[in-house]
Amino acid sequence: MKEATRSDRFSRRDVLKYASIGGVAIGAGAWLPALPALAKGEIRGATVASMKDPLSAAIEAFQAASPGSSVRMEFGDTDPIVTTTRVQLTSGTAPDLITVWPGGGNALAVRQLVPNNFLVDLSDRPWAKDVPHGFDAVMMVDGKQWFLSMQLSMIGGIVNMRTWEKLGVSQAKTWSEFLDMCQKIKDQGVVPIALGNGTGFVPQLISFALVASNVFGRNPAFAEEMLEGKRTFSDSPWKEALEKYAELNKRGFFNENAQGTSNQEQIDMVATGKAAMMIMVSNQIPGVRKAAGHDDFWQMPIPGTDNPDETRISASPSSGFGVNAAAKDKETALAFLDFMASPEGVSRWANSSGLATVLPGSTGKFDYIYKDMYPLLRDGKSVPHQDNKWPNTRVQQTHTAGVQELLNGTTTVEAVLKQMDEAFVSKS
Amino acid sequence: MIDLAHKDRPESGIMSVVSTGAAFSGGRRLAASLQRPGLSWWFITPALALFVFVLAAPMLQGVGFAFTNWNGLDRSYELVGLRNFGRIAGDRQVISAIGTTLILAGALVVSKMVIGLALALALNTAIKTRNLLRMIVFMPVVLTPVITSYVWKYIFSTEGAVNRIADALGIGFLHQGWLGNPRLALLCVIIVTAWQSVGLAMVIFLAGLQAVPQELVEASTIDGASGWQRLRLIILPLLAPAITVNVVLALVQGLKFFDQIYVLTAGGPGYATETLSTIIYKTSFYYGEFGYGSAIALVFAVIVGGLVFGATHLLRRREFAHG
Repeated sequence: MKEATRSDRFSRRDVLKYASIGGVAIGAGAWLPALPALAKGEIRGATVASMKDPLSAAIEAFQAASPGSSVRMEFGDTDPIVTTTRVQLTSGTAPDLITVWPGGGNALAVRQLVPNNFLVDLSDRPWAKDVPHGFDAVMMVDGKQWFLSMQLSMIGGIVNMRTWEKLGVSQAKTWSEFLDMCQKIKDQGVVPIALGNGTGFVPQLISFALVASNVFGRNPAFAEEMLEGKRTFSDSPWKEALEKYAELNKRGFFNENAQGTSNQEQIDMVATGKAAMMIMVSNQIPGVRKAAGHDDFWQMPIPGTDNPDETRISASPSSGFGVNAAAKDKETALAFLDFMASPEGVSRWANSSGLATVLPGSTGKFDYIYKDMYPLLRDGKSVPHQDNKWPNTRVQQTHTAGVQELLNGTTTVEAVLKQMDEAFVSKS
Repeated sequence: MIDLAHKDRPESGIMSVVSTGAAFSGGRRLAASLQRPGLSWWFITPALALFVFVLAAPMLQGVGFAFTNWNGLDRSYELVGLRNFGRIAGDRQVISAIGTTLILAGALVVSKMVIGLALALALNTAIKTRNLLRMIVFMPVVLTPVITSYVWKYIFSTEGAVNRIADALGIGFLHQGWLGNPRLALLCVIIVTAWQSVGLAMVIFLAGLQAVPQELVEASTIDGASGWQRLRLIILPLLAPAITVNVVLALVQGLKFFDQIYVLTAGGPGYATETLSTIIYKTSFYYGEFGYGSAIALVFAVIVGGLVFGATHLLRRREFAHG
């Protein structure tokens, strides 16, 4: 065996040298931003197709930053995701990452899942404290955080700026101005509002946009009063909101065959300039931009009353990601959520989705689209989407079917509201 | 070498097959052992187990859930007796869906009988392209319903083929929202489901027509019977078994359609095309009322069973009446 020579052994000078290098490294590390702990496991999840682009970007970055890790995500329409995941949860075969909706009006809403112990408590994650408290009512259950929502869903008029400039109309600040604006657009041969009520989630959006001002602009505690049984749909300004919805239809401000038009056709109409706007969730803006081939879009608040001070927008966190309590590799699932929720992750999401984010950190590349929505958010003039605070999913379906029948002229506002009241108190 | 012993037991098909190989040693012993009482149960056990675990047990479990308030998520639930069934009686959506389901099933039976028979008669002739035409008519049967329904959804859309053809032919008054109009949406669903199913009816009728003795048809022609008389008095009575099969299949198919309706209208506009299948799906998996959904499914099963039994019984009697 070769005897160790002086050059093979550490001298005191070497020890001091390496110790000082190590010290500098540790010291420098203390000044670097804390990186989320990464794991090397394999996780799977299922979520809605509208999140495919930003989520794919996040997965790619996570896998690159954490070699050996793997995130397999399946994408689908909302209905199949909800029903399939629900069955998987009860049979113990649900994926590690579960798509969770805020509030309680959906079969995978946080208030439906938490009481059955399907989710991991995320309150101690580093990003949990950064979730704006304005969303606590629809995101938190028992004072704890259960899911990470990456993007905001705001309802407003999505306008193609290139069409708008040709039309030469100005933004409406009151309901009367809004009607006048639609009439001027119609007079120029352009459809004022594209409506795709043939797709299940669309009929409710104009109601939500109008109710935000008509109901909550006047009584911010309306949702809580309904849950306490003090108010009903029938005896509230919901009636006024649905009458205004019907008025838009009666005056021909929607495209023909709105009840049989799909959401994709609605998007195409706005993208191609056949329609001036669509009253829609902001999540659809990337799709419109893609269909149009340009980024010149803008989302404007819909004034529901003739008092501009009462104008509110409907805004909620979008569906997000919870960790299955029965997940095999919770560590990797949590690491992935932490990675997405880091400032870099939030920026990446904002830039790849083109949407406003729930957590701070967006670089603001697409902020110009929401320039009229952000002030209302900032000033507390936003209310959660109505279904977030409904006690069951039957109310939403009743409302959707009721709106379709109302616009087809086969029912009345009073009958729709009565059915919604019945659905609200039904057990499910 | 054939074992002649089977002559004493002509009823035993298995035995004759086994005995055929009796040339090998021990063949007789095997044959004898197969006759042991209870042995046949071992042969059907795998299939029986599969049937019990995959079909019977879940069905019985579903029947049990019909008497509970399970929401599909909770690990616990309560027995609610007949409350779910009482609720069905007062549920306007379910009552309306029963009506729509029956209309859809009836329309499918009629369309399959009339169009299927007409196509079969037309393609039972000696025209050169009959095989190609048969294949074209049958093709929709083998296509995936969800995919074809999306195609039809586009065809019925505002800018779709139906409206474009109407405009091109100068009958623009027909240009309308086919799937958005509550009076037309069900008709559209019927058209799509009939289009996808008549091919099967045609094939069954074609098989039946092959069995109609040509000498009878020719004799009646010589006797001066008209085409309608030949059809009514000779062909249709001899097609009675094919009619029975087609009616029963169309009835079952029409009562349980789901894919096409869900893709085309999802039960809308409003509740215009809501059937029991779509109601059961929404109630169980979307509203989270699994117990109530199971109760509707049980009622649905009774309706389907009753109608199919009634139709089969009626048509069988008709078959016997025609000899």
